[in-house]
Amino acid sequence: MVIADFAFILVAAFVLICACVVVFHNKIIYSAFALLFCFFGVAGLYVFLNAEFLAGTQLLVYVGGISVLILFGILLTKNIEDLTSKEVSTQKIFGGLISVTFLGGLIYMVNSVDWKVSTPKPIENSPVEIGKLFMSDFLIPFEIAGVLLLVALIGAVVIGRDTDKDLEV
Amino acid sequence: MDNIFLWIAITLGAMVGLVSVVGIVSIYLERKISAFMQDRLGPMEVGFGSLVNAIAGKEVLREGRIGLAQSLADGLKLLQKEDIIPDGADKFLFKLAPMIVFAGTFSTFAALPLAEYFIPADVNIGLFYILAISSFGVSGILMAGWSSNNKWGLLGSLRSTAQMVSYEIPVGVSLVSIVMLTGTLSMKGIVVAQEGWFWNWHLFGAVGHHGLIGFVLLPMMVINFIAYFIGSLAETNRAPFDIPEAESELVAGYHTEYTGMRFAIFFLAEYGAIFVGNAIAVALFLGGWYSGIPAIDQANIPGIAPLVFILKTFVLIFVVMWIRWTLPRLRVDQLMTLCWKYLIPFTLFTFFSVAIYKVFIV
Amino acid sequence: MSYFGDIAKAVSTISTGMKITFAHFKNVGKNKGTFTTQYPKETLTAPAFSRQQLHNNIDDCIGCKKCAMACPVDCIDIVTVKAGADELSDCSDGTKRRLHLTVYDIDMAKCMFCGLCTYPCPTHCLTINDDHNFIKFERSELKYKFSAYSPEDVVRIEKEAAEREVIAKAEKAAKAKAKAEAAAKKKAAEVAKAKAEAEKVETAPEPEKTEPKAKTEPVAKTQVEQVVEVKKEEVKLPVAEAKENEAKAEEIKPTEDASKEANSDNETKES
Ligand code: SF4
Ligand code: SF4
Repeated sequence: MVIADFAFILVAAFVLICACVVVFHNKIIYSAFALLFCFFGVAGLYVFLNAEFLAGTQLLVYVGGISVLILFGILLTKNIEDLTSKEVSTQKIFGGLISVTFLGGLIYMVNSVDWKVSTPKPIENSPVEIGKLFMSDFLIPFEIAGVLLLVALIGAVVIGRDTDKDLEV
Repeated sequence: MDNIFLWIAITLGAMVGLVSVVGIVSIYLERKISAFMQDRLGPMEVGFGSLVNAIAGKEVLREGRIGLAQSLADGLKLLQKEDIIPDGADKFLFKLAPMIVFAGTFSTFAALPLAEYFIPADVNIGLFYILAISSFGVSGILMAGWSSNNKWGLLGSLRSTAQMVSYEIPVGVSLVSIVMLTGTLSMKGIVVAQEGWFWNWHLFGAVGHHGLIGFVLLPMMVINFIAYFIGSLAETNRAPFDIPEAESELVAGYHTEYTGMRFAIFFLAEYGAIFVGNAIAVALFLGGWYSGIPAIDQANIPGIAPLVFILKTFVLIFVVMWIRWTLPRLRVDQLMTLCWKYLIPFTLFTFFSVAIYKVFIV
Repeated sequence: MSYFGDIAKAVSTISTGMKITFAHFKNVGKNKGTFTTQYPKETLTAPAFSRQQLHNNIDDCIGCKKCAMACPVDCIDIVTVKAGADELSDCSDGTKRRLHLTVYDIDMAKCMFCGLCTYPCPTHCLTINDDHNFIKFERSELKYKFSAYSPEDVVRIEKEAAEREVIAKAEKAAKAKAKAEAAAKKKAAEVAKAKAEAEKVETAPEPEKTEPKAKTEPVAKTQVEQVVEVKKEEVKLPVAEAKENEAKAEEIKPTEDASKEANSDNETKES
């Protein structure tokens, strides 16, 4: 399918460009928005892997939730426009060295691993299967994640209450 | 290959047409309904005849019009307006923001089940897709508010986002109850589950399918529906939850600095979002394209199904407008109180009840 | 249970509000339903006592300029030309008209709708009515011209008046001559002391006979002169006069007729 290939290249290029903007752009707000689009593009990649449910979750959690939280943090910071990443990044040579090392390691890993192409047909109704797996094989991780989030939620509420006076009321 | 491109073009064209028509009709209705509720007449002068004459440069006749073409004329006016970008604005993001907001709304139209064989994209996670993609528009609002370099814009967009993110919870939970009941995420599947008489609609507890025991579900579903409706009002920034664009405090919120067509796009997106919000309510609670009387559905009248669907949606839109022109705006703390202390407990309660019903009764 | 109590309260108050707005929505189009007037198509009538548009019934106007003098903002512009004897008909109330009104303009753009100009009018021809519907596209269109004459008429009238003036002057000169002659004769008669008294009696009737003619002419002339004078002093005079008028009008407002009389009395005294 030529069209599918073409679309995949488009989406992949979009993700890559956005990722580059995240890393290289001077203005932090641009980086944040680029990150958002990057997540969006990744959701598109999931669609190519026949994982629509995962794509939707990616959108809901990363685009609608995490990116917006990051943006909130940036927008509420005072004088954020004046701050550029040039002023922040100080150890260019050392940092670059580390990055290049990691990049080399990753390329080596990708090339050396013998990637297997999955033969079974993609599952038609993936949400149902995912739900079943959550409730059977992966019940413990699922529950632990739920408890963790609940703890975080309650913790946030406790921190959010500013005085003891509120607690008495 | 040609066919695919043709199909994409036709679908996109139809969707753009649908969004525009929905926007134009809703804006006209809003102006008329608000006028009637305030003992005014609303737009009365611009009919289609006078619009055509005005474009052709002929004399404009004004007899017996009810202002049907007012929104079209407004659109034409907005198209001709100067496109102002503030000096201090971030030009790139400023131009991008209306597109993102519009894209967020526009994409949701793809999964609306207008009729059994009239769904632009019948994905098996339709409902999930709509919820997910509509959160994309939130970032556009943030972008608009920030890039205008305007304190009202920024405050409006922050408020809007906070409101949308927090009201996603009751909306999501109330929708999940329906998903649990029907066992599918596909919009088509959910509507098909409500086939037949109107008491099969989820609003009335789907009594027909579940028998008398379904009456247990009825109060749950009514609560669910009301919670969803309130939540969708808040998600689309409609009164009484319009604090993001509270005129008396924030001028116009995140689109304060926008003019001309960019402003019009925000407006279209807003009314599109209202349509989608109510269309989901129709599909999930009010039987979608089924008219509620089997004889009408089986009569095979061409075009009746989308008509029924759109009609139901506009009835709900009327209620939305009715509420807007009746109730005063909530404060931010009241907004959050309503969400966290009332809607979320109630939706969680119905969620557990439906779960228990599903596990032990069915 | 204030939690559920609050919910019940919310439901009841919201439904009350919604009922009210729906009632208004239903009533639209009915008589009590809408308060909008579709202005160019429908108009409301102003209250009968309102002051909106000035109207001059030009056939009754004697061109006395009392209105122009009364106006605080000088928006009435009058030019008169003396008319020949019996050239103009009388007013409806029997007042004689002796002046052609070649220009009678009221600039409604300047007018402040005080109505002061209507009180002094001796023939009650200048009125202010409740017609508020006089929208114009140009400010100049707000200058209402009440004169009944076309420009050609004006030219003709002015020409005729000038001719009459010439004739009147000639007559006057002749009369002056006659008078001088008569005086000379009288002198001569006085000088001729030896003459008989019977002769004196005979010459006397002659100047008496010319006198009525001589009398009418100067009266008319002084009026014309007065008009010219007034026109020159219009700028200074009206202010003081209008103030007086205003004060008068304030005092005697309740009875319109009384105030009118008082004003016209006042005016006649002044003039
Ligand atoms: S109404 Fe008043 S301002 Fe107008 S013309 Fe008469 S006196 Fe002058
Ligand atoms: S006061 Fe009356 S009669 Fe005199 S000039 Fe004015 S309108 Fe004419």
